[in-house]
Amino acid sequence: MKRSFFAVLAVMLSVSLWGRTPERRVMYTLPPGEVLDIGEYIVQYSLSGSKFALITYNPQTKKSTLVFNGKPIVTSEKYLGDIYTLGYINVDEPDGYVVKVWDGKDYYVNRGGKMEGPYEYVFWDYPEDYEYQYRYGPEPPAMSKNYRYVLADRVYENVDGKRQKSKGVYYLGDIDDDRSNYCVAVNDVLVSYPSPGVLYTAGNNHAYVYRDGNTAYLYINGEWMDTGSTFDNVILNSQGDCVYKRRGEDASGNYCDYLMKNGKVLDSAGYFLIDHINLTADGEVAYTSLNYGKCSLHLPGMPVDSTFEDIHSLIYFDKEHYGFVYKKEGKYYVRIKGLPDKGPYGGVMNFLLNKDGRFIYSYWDSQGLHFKTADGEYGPFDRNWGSYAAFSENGGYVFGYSDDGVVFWNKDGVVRKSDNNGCWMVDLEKNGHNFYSKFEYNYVVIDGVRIGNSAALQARYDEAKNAFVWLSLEGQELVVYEYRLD
Amino acid sequence: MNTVWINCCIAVLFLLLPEVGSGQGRRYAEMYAGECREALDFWELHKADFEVAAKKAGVSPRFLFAVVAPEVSQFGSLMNKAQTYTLKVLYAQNGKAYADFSIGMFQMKPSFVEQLEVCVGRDKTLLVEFSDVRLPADSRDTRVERIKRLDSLEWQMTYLTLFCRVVERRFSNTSFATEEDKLRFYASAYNRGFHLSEERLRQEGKPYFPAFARQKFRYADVALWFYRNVQ
Repeated sequence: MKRSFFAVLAVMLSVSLWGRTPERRVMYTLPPGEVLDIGEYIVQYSLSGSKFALITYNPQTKKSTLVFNGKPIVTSEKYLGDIYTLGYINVDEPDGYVVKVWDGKDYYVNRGGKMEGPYEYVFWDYPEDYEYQYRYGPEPPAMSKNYRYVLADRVYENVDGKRQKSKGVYYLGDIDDDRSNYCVAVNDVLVSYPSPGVLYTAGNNHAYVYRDGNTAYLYINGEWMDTGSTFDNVILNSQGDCVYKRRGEDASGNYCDYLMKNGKVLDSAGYFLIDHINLTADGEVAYTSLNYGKCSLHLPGMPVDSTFEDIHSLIYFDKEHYGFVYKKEGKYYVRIKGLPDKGPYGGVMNFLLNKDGRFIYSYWDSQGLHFKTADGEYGPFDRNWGSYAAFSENGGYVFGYSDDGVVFWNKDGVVRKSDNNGCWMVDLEKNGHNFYSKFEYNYVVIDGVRIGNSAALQARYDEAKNAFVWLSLEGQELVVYEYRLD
Repeated sequence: MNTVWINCCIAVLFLLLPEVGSGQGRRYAEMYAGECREALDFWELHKADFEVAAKKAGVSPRFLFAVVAPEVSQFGSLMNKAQTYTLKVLYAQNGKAYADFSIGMFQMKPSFVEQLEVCVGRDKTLLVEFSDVRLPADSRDTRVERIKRLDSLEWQMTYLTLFCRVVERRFSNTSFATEEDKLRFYASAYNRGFHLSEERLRQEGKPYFPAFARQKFRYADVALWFYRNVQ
């Protein structure tokens, strides 16, 4: 599903137009006093063709309303959240919504107009990195009609209307909103902890670290494992092994980190800092340490290597498959087992390596930002932060970058301009025609001619119609314009 | 940047400083290690700018950085480029009641700047010191200018400096036990609004930073982590 479906306007109209006067059509008129709700980074609407969903907000009543194809679905004094996390919304389906509703006492799910519930809590199992993918990725994860809910401290899931015991581990937090119980759903069981904490998972295994005053508690699968001043870098594997670092004191009484495995000290040496801990499925542990300015690499079955100024992004699968970024004489390099070291670079980010030997990372030098993969090298691009790199689902690569201020995505070698490019303007070139809208002007320009009375909120070229199509907010009216080019 | 030095510094500070209030910050640094690394890079790159601004703001450079560091750590330029055009159109067209959104490295909102402009207008001292900050009465043109300024790091630094001066004057009778206490207060004011009362700003409240994350942290705790980990 495209990003534009969630956050911005992907207008695909099926309206016939004749001549070169733009057709103006009102899609929706906001009730008096209501405005389009604005999330922190997004306008709360999604459109497809002449169908739409949006959240409106009334500053007088402080109520938010979800409107689906012109029909108010949910009105709430409680913040509805962002449109892409409400549940499921597909404006192309009749009654294509499955959303969470709270009536002040209980939770319900409104499935296309039919209410399900009441429940004590409802949640969707969007991935932990949903926000990251949404903000940085080429496409956000698909929405789901399936949801999970809590009844009498048990967790269930509704899969295509069929109700069954929940599977998987999810952090629910303070579901009673009274700060007394912080819950983790472990399959169908609700495990509660007395304080907010950090959840770590691997398969059905989970670790939970919370703090009470100056004391930290570590629980593995609901069972107490350790108590100390601090636990960090908790890593689990599917066998149920747990590795973490624990703050302690060395023989001289100085504070230091100890590497722990399953509640026992794994490395009797304490370090100023232990970092980049890797735990394999077989229970092997790789990590880096820092002591008195000396950075060391600890790989299973190998001597400790302390010849680096810095090490980061250590990825370890086994003795034949690992990689990391290191610094020597002020320059950064990438080492991948079995390959010549790569570099020197000014800096390296986004290093990813899989067991098949495929890798991707970005680096910068005096020319700008570059990407390097097992298959090639790309750049230089703008030296921007927020660049994104990942393995694609097809076994290739996907990365995003800014080139001369324009955002592009390269997925499996195919480069495309971002759907929603530019923070200042929309600038489209198609078949010798140009569409241009800048936020500070209350009109758009097509082929040098001023058109309309407002800037475009978003615009696109409709290939089937050979037309520029754009959307504007004019007073309380959400308006779609279409301008044929032939 | 000497990363080893920073790592050492982080390690030593982690170990030696009292734990009170920093647990949340540590956990944030753990979960957002890459983002924190980038924010520390930003500090190294712009240290001189913070030093200049800090003199005018009446605080230390690392204090000034720490106030905005959590936002810096969450900033991604791709996100900023890709998602603010529509919001800019709505704000320029209809004002803050319609679209009030975070822009730039320090993630400042137009309404935040509008409040600062009002403060400058009401305070003769600030009016002299920040005469160029004020804009004419609300209109499409002033809103457009405000957005353009917000997209500039130089202007964001000016607004941050002004913010510190405004908070200093607004809470001139407030005493702080330590600079860390003061930082927590300023960070809360930056994140939650400097128009709030001292009592409200001192209340810890529920963690709600970063806005979209499932596991949230107190902004002031994260700011404190940065304060302790830069020099």
